[in-house]
Formats: sequence, C-alpha cells, structure tokens
Amino acid sequence: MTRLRNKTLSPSSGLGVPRRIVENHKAGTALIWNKVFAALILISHGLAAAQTTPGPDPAARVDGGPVVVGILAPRGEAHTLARWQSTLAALDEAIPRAAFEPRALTLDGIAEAIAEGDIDFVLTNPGQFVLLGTPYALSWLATLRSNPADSAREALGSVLLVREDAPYTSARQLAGKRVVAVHEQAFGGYLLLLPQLESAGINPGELDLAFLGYPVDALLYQLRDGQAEAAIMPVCMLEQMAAEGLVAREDYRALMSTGGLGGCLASTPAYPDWTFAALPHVSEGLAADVARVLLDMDSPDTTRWSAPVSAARVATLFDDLRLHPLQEPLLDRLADTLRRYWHYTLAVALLLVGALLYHAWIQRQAYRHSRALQSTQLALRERERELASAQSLSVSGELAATLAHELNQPLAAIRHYAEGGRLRLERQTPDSPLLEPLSRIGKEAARGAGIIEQARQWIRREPPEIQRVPLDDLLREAVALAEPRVRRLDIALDWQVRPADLAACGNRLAMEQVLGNLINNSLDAFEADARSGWIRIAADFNAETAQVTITVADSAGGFDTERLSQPFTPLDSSRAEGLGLGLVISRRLMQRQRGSIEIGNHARGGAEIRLTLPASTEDANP
Amino acid sequence: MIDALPVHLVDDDAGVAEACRYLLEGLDLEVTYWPGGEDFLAGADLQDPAAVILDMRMPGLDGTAVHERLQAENACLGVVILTGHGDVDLAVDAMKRGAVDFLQKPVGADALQHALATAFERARAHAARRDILARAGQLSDREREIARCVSEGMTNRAIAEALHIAVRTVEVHRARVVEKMGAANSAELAALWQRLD
Repeated sequence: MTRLRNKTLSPSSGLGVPRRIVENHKAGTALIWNKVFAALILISHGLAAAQTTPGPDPAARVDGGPVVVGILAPRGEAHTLARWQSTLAALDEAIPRAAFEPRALTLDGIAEAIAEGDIDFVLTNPGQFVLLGTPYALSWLATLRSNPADSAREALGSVLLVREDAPYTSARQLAGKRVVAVHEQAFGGYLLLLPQLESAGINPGELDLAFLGYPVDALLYQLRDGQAEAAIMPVCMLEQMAAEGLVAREDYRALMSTGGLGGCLASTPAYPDWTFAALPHVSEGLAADVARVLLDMDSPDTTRWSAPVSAARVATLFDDLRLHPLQEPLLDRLADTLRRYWHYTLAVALLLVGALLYHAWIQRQAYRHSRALQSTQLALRERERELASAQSLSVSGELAATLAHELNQPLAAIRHYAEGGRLRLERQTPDSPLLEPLSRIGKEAARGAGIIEQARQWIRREPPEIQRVPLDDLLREAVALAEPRVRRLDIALDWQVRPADLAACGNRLAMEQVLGNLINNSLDAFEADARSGWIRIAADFNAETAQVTITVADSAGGFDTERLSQPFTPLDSSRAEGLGLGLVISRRLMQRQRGSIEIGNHARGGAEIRLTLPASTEDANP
Repeated sequence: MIDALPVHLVDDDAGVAEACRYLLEGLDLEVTYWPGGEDFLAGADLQDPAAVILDMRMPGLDGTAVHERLQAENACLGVVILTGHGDVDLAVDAMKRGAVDFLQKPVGADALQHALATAFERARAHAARRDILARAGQLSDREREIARCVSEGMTNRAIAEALHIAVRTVEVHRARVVEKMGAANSAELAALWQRLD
C-alpha cells in the first residue's frame, strides 16, 4: 500500500491545489521552460510516486547565489514587495553571503514554485503550510507577529462583510445572493469561513459565490459598489484599507461575528499568523541564520516574529474540511480495505456477479413467458376469427334455408292450386283454353322452387370432415375463447372431462362453434337478467352406446315451456337482439356430424343442453 | 284414380295443405287434413289402410318422429314424405325406415299421383299380410304344419307319411286350412303362406 499512499503525497494529486502558473511572475522563455520542466517532474513523480521530497538538487543557489523568498501576495505584487522590503533588507544586511530576493506569488504560484524548486524560502499563511509543509518537508523557521493583537498564535481569521445599510442580519439571508471571495483555497478567507457557514446550516452551494483572485482589495470595492452583497475577507483587511484611506470603516459590518480579533471585525476564530519556512535544500546554516535574524527583528517599524507556532488547529480544520494532505482519500482507503480483505471482496464480487446473472436469467425467462403468452393470445384470436367466420357462414346458410323454406310454401300452394284446377277443368271441359295457362302456372311455380333449391344447394357447404376430437383440448379452448366475457360478467365457468383422454368423432371447428353458441346463449341469459352464476360443462363417456355426451348446464333460469316445445324454430329468439339462430345452427352442425342435441332444464333453475357424438376409440391421433 | 284409398295429409302450414287438398281432391281422392303430428297420431285410425302425406318440418313432433311412431305401431299406412328441403340425409333415413317415396315441394300432380299409387299398394299389401297373419293365428298347430307342407308343394300322401297320419286326415285338415285362410284352393293357400315367410 505504500505505493498508493505515496501517490497521494506527490504534488500531482491530492492537494486540491490547482497547478496554474500565475502571471504576476516574471515573464519570458524561462517561464515556459520552467513549466515544461515542472510538468515533466510532476509526471515523473506521478508515475514513480516514491519520493516524499520532490524538487531538483538545489544546492547551487545557496552560498553566494541569490536566495529566493516566495511570498504570498494577497494584495498584489507591489503591495507585497513594499510590505516585506524591510524584512528582506534586514536579512540581506545580516547575512551578506546571500542575496535575498523576494518573489510575490499567488496561492497556486507558491505551490507551483515549491514543486519546481524555484524558491528557497517561503512566506505564506498557515493554511498553505499545512497543505505543503509535510509533502515538501518544509522547515518552519518563525511565525509572524504583526497584527494589531500582537500575537503569533491568534492572528488570522476571516470576516463575512456586508454593507452597513444592507438588510441582512444573518448569513442565511444571503442564499442566492452574490458573495465574493478570493479563492476557494484562500486560508484567511473562504477556507476558514467554510466550517462556520456549515455549522450555521448554510450550504455554500446556496450562495452565488464568485472567486475573484488577488488582490483582496477588489472584493471590498465590489461590495462597496453593490456588485456583491457580501465579501469574504481576511480579518483586519477592512481596517487596514480604512487606515490607508481607501474605504470607510463604518460603511461595513460583519455577519456571524465572533466579537472581533485584535480590534478587527471577524466571523471565525483566530488562527496562527503567517510562517517563514525553508525548503529542504537550504543548508542548515543558512536556515539557522535566517531564523536568528527574524527572531531578532524588534523595532516598531519592522515586522516582528516569534518562534514557529503549531499548526495543529489548522490541520484539524483541514481534517474537518477533508483537505489534509496526510489523509488518505476515501477511495484509496476503500481500495486498501478491499485488498486487505480480498476474500470477502471476492465473495461479494462473486455474489454480485451471481445476482447479475440471476437477474439476466429472470429477465430472459420473463421475456420468454411474455413471448409465449403473446403467441397463445395470437392463436386464440386467430381461432376466434375462424369461429366467427364459420358462425357467420352458418348464419347466412341458415337464413337462406329458412328463406327457401318460407318461399317454397307459397310456391307449393300455387302449384297445387294450378294442378288441382287443371285436373278438374280437364274432366269438365277437356278443350278449355284455360287448361294451357293453368299448366303454365304450375310449371312456373315449379321453376321458381327449383331456383330457390339451387341457391340453397349452392350455399350449403360440404359436409364437415369427421376427425378425432380430443375433448379435453376442445373444452379448454372453448372456455378460453369465452374467458373475457365470462370474467366481465363474473360467471364461474368450470369444466371437466371423464376420462381425461376422452375423444369424440366429429369436426373440431363445428364442435367449437356449437360450444361457443351454447356458452354465449348462457352468457346472454345472465347478461339480460344482470345476474351472475355458474356454467358447468361436463364431457362423459357412455360405454353402452359408445357415445360421448357433453352437457352444458347453467344457473340462468332455463328455457320457458313455450321455447322448450319448439327450441329449434328459427327467427324466434327470446332475446331482444339476435336472430335466435344459435340453437338452430347448433342442431344442424350436430346433425351434420352425425350427432344430436337435446334441450332441457334441470331442477335447480337453469338450462341443460346435452350434445351427443360417437366416441373415438382410436388411441392415436389420425 | 282406380282403387284409391283414403289419404291423410299432415302439414303444419294450413295454406299449403289447403292447396294440396285441392289438388288431391282434383284427383278424386278422399283427403283428411291434420295440422300436426300429435293430432294425426291421436285422431287417425292407423290400422285402416290408407296413404299419408307427411311433412318433415313441423313444430312439435316432426315428420321423422311421426314416421317412427307409425313404424312402432305397425300402422297400415303407405307413407309419402313431403318436404320443402331436398335434404338427402333425411330422405335416405326416411326411405330406410320404409317410406314409399320422398317428394319435394312444390310437388306436381303426376309425381304425387305416382307416389300415392305406390303408397296405396303398400298399404294394401300391408293390410293383406296383416289379414293373413290374423288368419294364420287361428290355425291349430297341426293345421299350421299341414299349411307349411302344402306351401312346400307336398302331396297329401307325402304329408301323411311325413306326419305319420292317415291320408284322409290330411285331406280333412287341408280343406279346413284352405277355408280358414280364406283361400280359393290349395295353390292360393301356398301363395298366401309363402308371403308370411
């Protein structure tokens, strides 16, 4: 795991510090080469990731050469150089063998410069020390003691400023408002304020945050000009700018105020002041000399220093913010744990794979089922169509037969009268001129009847093919076809075949048609009376007659006596609609299969219709 | 029509039946009209030789059912089936059951006349056979035996030898059998007896 942990320590990752070189540094080709060089180093560190002390061998610059001090420049380069000029001058004077050279840097610039080994000393806020100190093995030499409180330990903090006349009394009211800050990594700014905001129940995402970068002055100007509703600033910056005559102190007030810090407005607790540190390549002698000079500086017009102050509170703060460089990122810790307990990991992984496979299998089964269901539905619908077409053919055939019969009767009467008249006239007046027309009338009537008969013959279909019809199968399908209506009317429809392999000699389609007619008749009766009940279909074998009987019984009240006396009279429906042909057609279909149909009522108040067909004794399907 | 018998007309359609009766009466036939199968079976004398014109399609008892009842009662009727439908199956069934003819409406006078003639013949034959059977039923066992022998063409002597009785006895029995059976002579008796088998 060493490899992984080291990787997080390398400057290429884990710090949350953007590696952008900022432009307030000297320009020129050297910078470009520096960039390329730095990039190569970063990459090599990222790949090798074994060194905790990055940077080139820098001994060259010490002893005689210029000594570069990288300084964080919150208020810009000019301000920074002016601010630290006296300190550097003191160092130059006290240590003549080195020429100290200040270099104003941004937050990102400092990180970059340390990584590249461009500088020898660094002067920055404690936040950066915690972030950079350990990875780059910085040596802490002294902590600044320059603020009004005159304390190195309690010097830095952030303040959330609003205009005095603004309506805000709580930070919560800033939700959705424009709030300006320097940088999300600015220690005496957003970074310190963040825990305060969070503990006040404010999600920074609710604010319309804008990070403007250095100089800090710009934040206050934006606030003053109404371009922002609040500004997150280092403590005492307002007071300092007021002292410089740039802004009016009383125009602003602090939200989430902690009561002030050394006479300045503050919204956070106080943290240690800036620290002066040496990079690891600086010789011990030079580092010791610099420290001695700094601690010795004590005139009121120069900057004052104390011994290095612990940054433990800063580290704790960063821990809370999950920024600490020594803290393993969550993912790495997870990976570490997974590796340590690899067998559990493996088991869980196998389980997951198993679950996935099982899920896929279930999906596939479901897909197959739905496909099978679909094809069954399709087959059923196809069957329904066939039956409907057979039924409509039967209906038209039956109508034609009925019509033929009805027309035939008057034609018969005409012919009979004509013939009878002719016979009488022949005897009385054998030479009567009426004999011929009478004979013609008879012949024309016969011709009319012949045409009707021809039409009837034409409509009449071929006798059905007699086949083996397994009854279990037949009833199952007939019931399935009726199922939607049965369910809608809430009818209990059950059926049984004894023995289960019973089969009849008949025509499958005709039998389905008959059963469909009978079941529909029952359902019509239930529907007409708006009641529910049961329909029972039973197929039995009669060994004596070698016949199959199929009984369809219901609880829908049965036939009335008038209907029972003439059940097969066409066009005599007990229903309001319909032609009353169902039973007539059923009888014809049964007759054409050499079967029969009997209509009756059973004692429990319902119809009972009995179909009879020869049993099929064949064992196999023909 | 020569040797005509009465005609029963069974049809639910009164209009057609009336026309049919008009036609039949034009043929000088004696017609009784029955509007339904039940009426006919209950009202007509089924043992009286006659022809019946039976419509197949009727409410209640239809033609087939009436025909079956006539068969069961051994009616002395010649049956002509009449239908509006030339239903082959029904026709075949009816002919098997002994119907004389199967006519399709509207039937012409000629066809009807022809069918009725056959029906009368059938009715008469049926009546005759029934008479012979009735007379044969009056014979004693010995007389029946002698009648059988006569119908086989045996002489009196041969009969006497076969039955171990005197020739004279045979002659007496034979005369009584001829008389009981209503035959004119032995030859007629033989013909009658053969019709019984």
